[in-house]
Amino acid sequence: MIRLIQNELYKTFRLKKMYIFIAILIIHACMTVYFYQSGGEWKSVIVTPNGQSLPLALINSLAQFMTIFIPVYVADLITGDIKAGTFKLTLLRPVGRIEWLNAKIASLFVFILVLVVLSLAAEYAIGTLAFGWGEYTFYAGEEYTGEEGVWLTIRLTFSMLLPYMACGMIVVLLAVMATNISTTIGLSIGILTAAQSLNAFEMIKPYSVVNHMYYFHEIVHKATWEAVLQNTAIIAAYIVLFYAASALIIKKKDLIQ
Amino acid sequence: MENKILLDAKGLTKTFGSRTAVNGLNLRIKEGDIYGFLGTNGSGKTTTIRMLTGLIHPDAGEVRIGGYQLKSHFKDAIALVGAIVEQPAFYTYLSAYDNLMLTANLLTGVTRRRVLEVLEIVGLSDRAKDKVGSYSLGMRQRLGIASSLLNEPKLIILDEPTNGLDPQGMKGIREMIAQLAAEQGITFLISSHLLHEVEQMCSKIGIIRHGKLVAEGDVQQLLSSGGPRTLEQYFLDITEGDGRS
Repeated sequence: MIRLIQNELYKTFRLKKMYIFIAILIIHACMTVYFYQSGGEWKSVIVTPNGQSLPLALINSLAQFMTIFIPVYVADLITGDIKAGTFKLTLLRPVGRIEWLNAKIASLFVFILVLVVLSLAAEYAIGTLAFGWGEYTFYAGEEYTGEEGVWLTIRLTFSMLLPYMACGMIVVLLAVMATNISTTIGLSIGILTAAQSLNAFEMIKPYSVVNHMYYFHEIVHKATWEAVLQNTAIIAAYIVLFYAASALIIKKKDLIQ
Repeated sequence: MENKILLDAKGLTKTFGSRTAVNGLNLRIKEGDIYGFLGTNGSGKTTTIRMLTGLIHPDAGEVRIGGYQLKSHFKDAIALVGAIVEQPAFYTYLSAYDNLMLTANLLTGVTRRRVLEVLEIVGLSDRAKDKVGSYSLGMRQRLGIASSLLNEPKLIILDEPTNGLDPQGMKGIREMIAQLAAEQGITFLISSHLLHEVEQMCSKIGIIRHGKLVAEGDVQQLLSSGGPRTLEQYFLDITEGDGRS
C-alpha cells in the first residue's frame, strides 16, 4: 500500500498541473496585494495590510480555487488513469482495487495539503514583502499578537483540509463513475458551484459540505466545541459515505478500457 | 510426463446488456504451451482475456491460475502472470525506465537490475531514458512485454501483440516470444486474428466463435486432420461453417 502511494505521489509531482496550480495561487496573492496598493482597498479583502494578516484575509478565496483544482486533479488521477488504460499497469499486478482507490485518495490528500501549505507560505512571504510583518494579526474584527496570530492562522487553514477532502470525495465518486475526463471535471465543477446556492436555505446550510468548504474555519474560530464536533461529524459523514460508494463501484466495475 | 495445467477456466460467461460476449467457455493451458487464441473481431477474445486477468467480472464460471482461484486469491493468481491487454498503456510523460520502476515498486523482489535486464531483453536499453510519448507503437509493444517480464512470470498473456506493427516489428515480437518460451520456459497465451503469425508462433490453438470455443488442439494435428491445409483454411472452415471441422 505504501509503495502504491509512493507511485501515485511520484506521478503527481512529475505532472506540470501541480506547479501551475501553485503558480496560480501565488499570482492571485500578488494581484490582491497589488490592487490594494494601487488604491483598491475599498473593495479588497485586505483589512489590515501586513504580512501576518494576509493568509487569513485570503482563506476564503482558496476554496474558490479548490472548486476547480480538485476536479481537474482527480479527473486526471482516476478517470484519466482508467480512460488511458494506465490503470492496467497497477491492476494487472498483485494489487487490489480498493488498495488502488485508497492510494488515489491518499494522493489527493497530499495534493490538497501541498497546495494549502505552499499557498500559506507564499501568502506570508508576499504579504511581508509588500507590507512588512506588522504589529498584530487582524482577523474577524479582532487583534491577536504575532504568536497567537500564527497559531490561529495555522489552525484555521489546516481545519479546511477536512471540507476540502469531503468535496474531493464527491469528485472521486464522480470520477469512478464517469467515462471521460471532461465529464468528471464538468460535472464536479457544476455540482460544487451549483451547491453554493443551497446556502440560501438556512435549514440546509449547516449540512452543505460546499458551505463548509467556504466557512468551516469560521466555525472552528468562533463556535463552541460541541458545534465544532457536530460540524466535523457532518463533514466526516460525507467523506465516509462517498468513499463507501466509490469503493463499491470500483469493486464491481468492469474495466473495459 | 504430462505437463501441469497452468490456466484453467471453466464455464466463463459474460453478458453485456442483451449480448452474450462469452458463453460457457472452457480453456485449459498447460505449462510450456504457446497457445494461440483465435477468433474474428467481436468473437469474445478480449472479453475472455479481461476475465482471465480480473479486469472484468464473469457472470458465471471461474478462473484458476497455478491452482489459485482468481476471484478469491487474486493476488496469488495474478502474481504468476504478466499481461498486456489490448494496447500497452504507459505514462507518456515518464521514461520507459521510470514506467518500469513504478511497476517494479509494486512487485516483491524486483530490483533496478531486473528492470535494466528486461529492457535489454526487449532491445530498449538505448532508449530507456526517453519519454514513452516519443515511442513508436512497436517500441511500446516491446516495453509492454518488458513490463510483463519483470516478475519472471510463469504465464504471459498477450492480447493482439502484433496489432499495428509493420512486418519487421511483427517478426521481432515473434522471435522474442519464441526465445522467451525456449530459454525461460514461459507459457504464453496469445490472442490474435493474424493467422499466419499464430501458425508460426504457437504450439496449440483454440478458436472462439460467438463467445464459444469451437475448436482446440495441437496446431499440426488440427491442420493435418481432414487433409493438409493452412491455418487460414482451417480457421475459415471453422468460423464460416457450422463450427465442426
